[in-house]
Amino acid sequence: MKRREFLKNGVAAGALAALSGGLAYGQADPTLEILVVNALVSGPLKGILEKEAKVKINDAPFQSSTDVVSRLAAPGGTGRYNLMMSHSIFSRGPVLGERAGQERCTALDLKKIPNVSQVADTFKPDFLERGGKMYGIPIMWGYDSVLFNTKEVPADKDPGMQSWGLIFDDKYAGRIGWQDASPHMLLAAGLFLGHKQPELMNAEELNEVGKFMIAKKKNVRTIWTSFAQCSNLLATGEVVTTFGPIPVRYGLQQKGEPITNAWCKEGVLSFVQPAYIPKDSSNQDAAHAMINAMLGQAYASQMSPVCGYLSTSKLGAQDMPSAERAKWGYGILDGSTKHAPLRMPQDLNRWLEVWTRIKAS
Amino acid sequence: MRMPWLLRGYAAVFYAFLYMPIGVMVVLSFNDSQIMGFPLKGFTLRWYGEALAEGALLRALWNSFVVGFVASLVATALALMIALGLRHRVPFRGAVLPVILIPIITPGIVSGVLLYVSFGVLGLPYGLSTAVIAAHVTWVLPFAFLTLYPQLHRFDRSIEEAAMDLGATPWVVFRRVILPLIRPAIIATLLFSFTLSFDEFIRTLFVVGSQRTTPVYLWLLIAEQMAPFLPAVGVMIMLVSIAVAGVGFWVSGRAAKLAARVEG
Repeated sequence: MKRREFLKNGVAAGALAALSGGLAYGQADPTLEILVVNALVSGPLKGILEKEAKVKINDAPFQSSTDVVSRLAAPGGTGRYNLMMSHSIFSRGPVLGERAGQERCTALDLKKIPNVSQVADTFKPDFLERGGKMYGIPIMWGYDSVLFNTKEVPADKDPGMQSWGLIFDDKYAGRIGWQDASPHMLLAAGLFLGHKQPELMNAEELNEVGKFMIAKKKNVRTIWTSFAQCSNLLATGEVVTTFGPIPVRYGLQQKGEPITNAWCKEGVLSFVQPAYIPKDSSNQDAAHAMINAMLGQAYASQMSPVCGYLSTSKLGAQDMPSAERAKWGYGILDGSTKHAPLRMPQDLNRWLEVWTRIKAS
Repeated sequence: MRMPWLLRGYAAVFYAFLYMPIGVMVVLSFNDSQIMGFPLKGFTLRWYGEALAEGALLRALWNSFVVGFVASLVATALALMIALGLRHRVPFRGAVLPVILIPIITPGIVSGVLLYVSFGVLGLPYGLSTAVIAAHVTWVLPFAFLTLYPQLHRFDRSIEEAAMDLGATPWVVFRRVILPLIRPAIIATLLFSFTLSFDEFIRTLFVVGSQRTTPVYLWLLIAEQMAPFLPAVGVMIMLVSIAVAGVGFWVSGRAAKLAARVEG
């Protein structure tokens, strides 16, 4: 075969392979397109859901809760995905709309979700309801707290040290990490400074929190932006304590790193994510089945061991030894661990301005 | 003439600043440690093995290859037609270039939002074979045009006229005269377009649906966890880009030689 013919045939064969193989090599045709925290369908969790709900799951890249609700509210957004999840504090408005009849999601048929009865009472405020109809059911919850290196910070041996104060402490100057997250960091500082409901701080109180953080910023090694960055900072010892989310602690512990989280005496910042079905979803029965499976024993009990997040279903922790329940954070449900539910401040713009001032200082 | 020591020092610092991060990534890709950082714990090829065993990564690589292949073909064909058209007197000729350049001057995130909303309004599906390819063609087209247009602009039209004098139709002139002469430029444009498409992230993220291209997959890894094989993946992707760029440079060099021969 001549060189030119060989090249011609090669290009033709490549094009044919591309077309016949399809653009998504090796993937089965999707039946349920979902937009949820990707860790919730990672590892064996996806298989459990697919088996229990008899669906094929295709999970879109999750960026943030605000991104999820923006996608729902965008033109055509109510028909893009079969199931979505986002923080309850962001979701209520976009999911329910301003008035009855403006809901962007379908009213759930609870007969198809018998496991809804298993949702713990703690999460009642996080159901998305209107006029006796249910639009969203809490599925997953978690918390942000202080992460620390147990070899450098002896807070695991001294519960008295377990406080948001660790991320402001002069003792760890130059080895502290903050997250670049406006309300979260200010809420944490507010809790530390004694505000029981920091989201309700007035302008003066918020300014005081801002001044405090500016004064403490000299202790901060870096303000990180991604979970991988946070993980790396902790694992390399560059920082020994940081504002931190569950997946980071979970990932580092899996790797055998001496990292754990503090059960802050002021309360860890807890959040809840309900699941909802966009009203133009093409496969609503399968989406109902998936919500039901997410609240079922098989999935709920595996959620924490596989990804570190916690299930809103009582079935999630019912067979767990008490030490394990405490380790994952289920103590929040029985009141043995203090938490402060993450709430959005009314005047978010002012909060953003204060946070920007802190970063620029 | 000898370079003054100050200039040498500047050049050394400049190149170190430019290439040290890449060097660090290569070193870390062989580091036998669960964390991406120093100190080095030993040599291993394990992360390359783990990266290659990652089905999701291979799917993402394949998706990027196919999207890059299709987007570069479509963008190059469109750019070629526009460049050929602009050799003639056409209405609004002066406005074409600024319009073509709009995707370059529009910030990526704005383009992403515009694509997202446009596809929503039109009711078109997201995914690799629809929205992503359209997004990539939009992004790559101006670069393809800017690469091809100068080649065609300086093309000696008397060769075409001679062919037509001898009875060739416009199609024959294109196929038998123009195309062979600009073929190296077309190949270079295809490769350049492919590289741009392969690396595109922000526009893709908005319209990719539930699939992954390589940059989207990498971004998810970084956003969610500290995967120790990330440096190895980075090195592999860099090698792909270097290989494509190398072929592009070789073809461009050939094109320059050919053009010099024709002009001579």
